[in-house]
Amino acid sequence: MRVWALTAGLMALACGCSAPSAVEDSILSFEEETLDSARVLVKTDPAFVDINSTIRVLVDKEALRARLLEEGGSPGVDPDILASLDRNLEALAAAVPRMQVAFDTWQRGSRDEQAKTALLEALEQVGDPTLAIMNTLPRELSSVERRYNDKLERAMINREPWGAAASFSAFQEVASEAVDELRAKEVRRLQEQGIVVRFGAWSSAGGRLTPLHLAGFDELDPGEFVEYERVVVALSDDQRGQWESLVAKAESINQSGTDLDFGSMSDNLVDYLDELLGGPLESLDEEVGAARAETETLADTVKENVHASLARIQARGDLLKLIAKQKVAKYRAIGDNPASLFLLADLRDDARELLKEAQGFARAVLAEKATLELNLTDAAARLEQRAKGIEAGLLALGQVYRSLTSAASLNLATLQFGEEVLALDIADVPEDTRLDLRYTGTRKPGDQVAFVMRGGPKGVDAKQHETLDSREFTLFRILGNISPTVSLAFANPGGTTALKTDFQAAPTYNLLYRWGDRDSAFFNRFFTPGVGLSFSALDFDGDDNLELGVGATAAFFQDWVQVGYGYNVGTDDEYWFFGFSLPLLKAAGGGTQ
Amino acid sequence: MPDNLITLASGPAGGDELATALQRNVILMVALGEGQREQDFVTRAQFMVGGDADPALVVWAKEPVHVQATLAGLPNPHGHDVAGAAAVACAISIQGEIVDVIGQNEDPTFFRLLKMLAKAASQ
Repeated sequence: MRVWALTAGLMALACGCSAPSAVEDSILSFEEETLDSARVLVKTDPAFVDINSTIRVLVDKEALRARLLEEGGSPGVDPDILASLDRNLEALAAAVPRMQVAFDTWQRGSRDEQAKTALLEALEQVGDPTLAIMNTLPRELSSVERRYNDKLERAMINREPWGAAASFSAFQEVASEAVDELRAKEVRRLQEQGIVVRFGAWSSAGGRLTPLHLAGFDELDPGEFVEYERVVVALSDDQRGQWESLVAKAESINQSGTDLDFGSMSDNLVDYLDELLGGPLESLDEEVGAARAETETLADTVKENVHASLARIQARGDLLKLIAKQKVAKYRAIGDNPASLFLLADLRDDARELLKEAQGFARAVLAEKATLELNLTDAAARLEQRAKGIEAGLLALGQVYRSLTSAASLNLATLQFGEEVLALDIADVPEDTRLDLRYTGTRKPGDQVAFVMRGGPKGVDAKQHETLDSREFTLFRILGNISPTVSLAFANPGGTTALKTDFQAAPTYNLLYRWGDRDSAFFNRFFTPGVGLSFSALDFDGDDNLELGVGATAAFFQDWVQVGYGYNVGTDDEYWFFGFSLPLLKAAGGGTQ
Repeated sequence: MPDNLITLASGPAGGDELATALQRNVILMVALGEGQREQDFVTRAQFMVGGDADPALVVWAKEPVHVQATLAGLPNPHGHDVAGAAAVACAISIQGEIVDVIGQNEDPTFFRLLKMLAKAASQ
């Protein structure tokens, strides 16, 4: 019960810690080419790619140019407007010849409704992009109008053969030239400013950051080629070791002659999960409780100190008032008795005494103010300390949750380019590059690959250059694949055999088909379903000679749990079974009393 | 100059000629008056849609008053003002709608004419 409550809390917590990194105008876009030759546009969040894929990186040089100009304080033409102009100019260039064909057909043809429809369509395909271009021409391209007028005036004077198609074509040419010139001008401006761009990639495989080669952007060597097979049948060395442990564990369970104790297993499992998830939560709970207690104590202390300070100030003020009153009374007496004029001789001393008291009062007030400030500063520091404790607790909790359900995240801001990464002039920045993940060496599901593009003035330390765009991917086995696992199955033939217990423990080899999900880290990291065949070493007849059990099975949760139905080839018995992988068996103490 | 100009007859017959031209399933670029701007419009429009197969004609109504009734009877979805002396020229799409008007405060440049032609094509 507690575990599920924890999970719900963690789900809520995750909302606050998985905010995607802010990206302004996207300069980079990424396309995944899988081993199946499929092409998939990689999403921003989550960004999951298959461990064997090639990532094609497309650089939007319009957006790059605009971003660099913006960084340099002299914004260029909005890249969206230029992109729209490009699209419409392209559409216009394609539509004009079609329009001419439609005109000719119309003139020569029957001019029926079908021909009229074709003509209207052809006109629309020319008219729409022309109007779109005219309506979006930015201020920087106002010369298009003048150039177009000049061009046609000259053509008319020269009596060139002309017509509607030529008029639209001329517009397309003039506008295209102007756009190209504008681009070239902006690029020149950046070149004059000495702006350079660097683009690099890193892998987090093996727990360390390794720079990766991106053709055209660096002089790094390609990494080691490692392709993870999509069909693996043989057990790894680790799995063979696990198999031996499972054989021993099965013998131990079967020899004890006791049946399964689900209650104990369940308790152990809950304890295991509680340890995994509950530890950080308890720690957080303690931190929050301590902070609350601290706040109450501090509030009481501050209140007491304030009262004490105010009381001291009041007492000092009362004393001053008393002395002043005495002095005034002393000199009033002169009026009643002129003989006491000699008292005036004390006037100077009394005045000095009064002044001294007043100064003392002022100093006392200042001192109390300092004491109060010190109290508050101390309280603030202690509360800050507690806040840090809570923050650390939250982080620990978030890490546990993320380790189960989402991709870890690299700190992209700390990634620094090596000397092999080229500082490129914007004109030399390639429009695309590729990263074949198979050339990134040994890696495993959950590892990250990060891309960072930065730019800035050539003379300025590259570390101070602005990050123009960045992306981070997590590698998973997204494509379907077949791999083996080993587990301990608890087979139940339903009382049809010589077994004295309901279940018999059997080391089991499974061959599972698995697949990944491009949208769910929970699916890839934790749910991890697999379906396939299981082969168990059974002994239903108790003759100490093992029989082969063959079954269909489904496994979930990192193979911790599996269920299935099988057939004992040796004894001709059917059975159902469930099973656990070794990590869970260790956690659950083997599942027996 | 290409033979794509219809100069309407003077007097009320001009309105009838425009109505006839409207039946020809072409884009009409109609100049409304005989001032310098209208003359410039006609010259440029003739050149602009002067291709042999261009489905467009230039119509010159030197006496706009006689075509007002015909123009007023055409669909005018954008409410362009073609009456009086406000307009230098207007464009009529193949479907017979008034799609654009060049006002007296505008120069009938090639660029402006292209915009007019594009509007007629877009309908």
